[in-house]
Amino acid sequence: MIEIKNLHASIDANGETKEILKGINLSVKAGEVHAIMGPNGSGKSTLSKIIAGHPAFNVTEGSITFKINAKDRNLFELEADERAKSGIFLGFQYPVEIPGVTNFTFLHEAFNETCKFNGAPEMNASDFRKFLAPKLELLEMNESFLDRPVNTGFSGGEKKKNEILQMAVLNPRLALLDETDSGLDIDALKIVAKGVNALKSRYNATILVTHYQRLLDYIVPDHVHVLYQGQIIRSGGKELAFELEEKGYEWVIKEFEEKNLTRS
Amino acid sequence: MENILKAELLKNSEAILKKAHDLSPSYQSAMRNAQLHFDSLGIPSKKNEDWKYTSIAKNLAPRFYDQQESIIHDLPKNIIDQRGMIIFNNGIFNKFLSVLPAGVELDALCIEANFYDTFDSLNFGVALSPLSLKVLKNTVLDFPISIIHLVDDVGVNKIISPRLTITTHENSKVSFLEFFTSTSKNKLQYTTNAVTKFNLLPNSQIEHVKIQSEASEAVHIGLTEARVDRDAIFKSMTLDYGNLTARHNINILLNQAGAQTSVHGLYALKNSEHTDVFSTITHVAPHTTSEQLFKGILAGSSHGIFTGKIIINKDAQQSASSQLNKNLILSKMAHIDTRPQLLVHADDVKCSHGATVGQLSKDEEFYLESRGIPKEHARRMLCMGFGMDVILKIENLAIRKFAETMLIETFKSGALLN
Repeated sequence: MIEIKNLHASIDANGETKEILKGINLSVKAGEVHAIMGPNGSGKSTLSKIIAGHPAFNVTEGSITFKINAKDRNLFELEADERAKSGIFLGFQYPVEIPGVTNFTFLHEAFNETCKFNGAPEMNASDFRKFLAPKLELLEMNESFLDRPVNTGFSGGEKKKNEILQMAVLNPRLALLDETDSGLDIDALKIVAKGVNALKSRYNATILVTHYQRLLDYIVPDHVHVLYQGQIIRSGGKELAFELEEKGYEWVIKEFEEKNLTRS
Repeated sequence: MENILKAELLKNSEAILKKAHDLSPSYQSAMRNAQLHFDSLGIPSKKNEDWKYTSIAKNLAPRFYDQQESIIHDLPKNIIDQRGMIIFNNGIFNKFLSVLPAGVELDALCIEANFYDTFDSLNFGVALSPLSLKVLKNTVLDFPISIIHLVDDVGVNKIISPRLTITTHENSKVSFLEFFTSTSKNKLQYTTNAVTKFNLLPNSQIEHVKIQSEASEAVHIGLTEARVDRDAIFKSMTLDYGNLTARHNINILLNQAGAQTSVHGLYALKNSEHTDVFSTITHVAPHTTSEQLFKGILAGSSHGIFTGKIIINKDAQQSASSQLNKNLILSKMAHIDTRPQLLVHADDVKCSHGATVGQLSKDEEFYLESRGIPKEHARRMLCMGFGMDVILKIENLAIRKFAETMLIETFKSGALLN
């Protein structure tokens, strides 16, 4: 479904160019759940933002192809909104507050833009409210959330639930969930995980970006990758996550650095 | 222009007073005094600190509107509830079209000798159709009263001078939508010099929403003044959707203990529009509170000015005031001057103030785009949201809906976002 090859990316900050991703290779197929783990500053969030089309990063090398209507498309030819409407969803680590725009308007506009783009009929406000009801129920959210400004004054848990609500509305083929577990208590984490699991199918894929193994107790990955200094230094099955939980990142990093030393 | 206007007033003084024959002799002599007051003060130049950013003289209309009878017969659009409407045509109260609901009655005209400024004097001196209303004790209306100021072709090149005073008696609660507009949005050139004054007697409440939507070539000078007595609440909202030049003078006096006010507003400007908000809130008595949120959206080469004066007198202990002015700049050519002015003479008070000037946040834009909303649409939504944040503070739902629709219309025209 998505094929990332030799991806290099940098960011300009304070007049300096800093390389963040240094040759990422990753292939994700429909029906799969991948977890990307790694210490802080390894480039995990950058990777998911680049896939979603965040304008702050420069891709300097490599490619990302994404299957749209059974054809491989160069993702860099699509604007962020086109990527979203083609089935890519980014769940934000820090969801943005938008005072003055109600959650309902936001969801409704996003949904109808996506329908329009894909040639599906748009939905009027009252039908859309009905369409939202079971999704709110799944995430144990009160209907009053719809009439509040987007994320404004929401608790950490409410913001993350709201991300999954958006995901449920847009029904993406590829969900990138960036540190969805951060700032969640165990009850909220369970609800969020329940939501993500309910949306999983053999037609869509999920990439979980996370620092901790905790989330993976509730959303079980098929593949686990360790990202370090902009490279995937190790991949494995779900048991890799347990190993990391037990031993920390140090041993993987050490092994990787020793391998590099012998190579050079 | 100052001299032209002064000469015009001098020349027509007698004629104007003659046309005011319906008014009492003592009122007419007060008008004469107000004219003299205007003559001595003149029109402020930019040297006047309060007018530092607006040269008002250059675009003023050269003549006074001096017809007594209203000649407009059709009910203007924009009436949100026909149970309460006060209609001024070219500044003249239209008693045939206006409808006062039960509990709202004509009141004796107030003979005034103290004026807020030169334009208040000028207005008093030439307003041929001043209107004074009272809201009777215990009158609580759940529908809004619309005050519509409509200017038509006959008002072209004239100074339009509506004057309205409203006194609310104990335990009354009323919402007003005051709407300034014209029969044609584009071509008409005229100057509105409007005065609207409120006296809130103890325990009464007023919500006043002023919308400035004059013709694009018109000049608007407007005074909203309120004297707020014990435990009374005055909620003021000023919405400005742009025209050639607008000056909003807002003057609130929290006169007695427990008086409260909120003085909010929004200016959404495009092209070369110029809006100058000059707000003064004076805490005279102890235990008085004021809050203020003014926002600005500035596109094109527009110029916005916000001056927010908060005065806390020595005796106004235990008072609280907060002020915030936030501006969104959408183009390199747009310009904002913001001046918070706090004069605190009491020591046991809570005061806060802040002013921000910024652009649309890239993070907010990306958030919407990542949900499938195209960039242009996302920017429009964010600007709307920025404005809606203020409009949502309007308590009366019918007025809020009306203000929201106007904001949407303003953005539909596209000029705010190119």
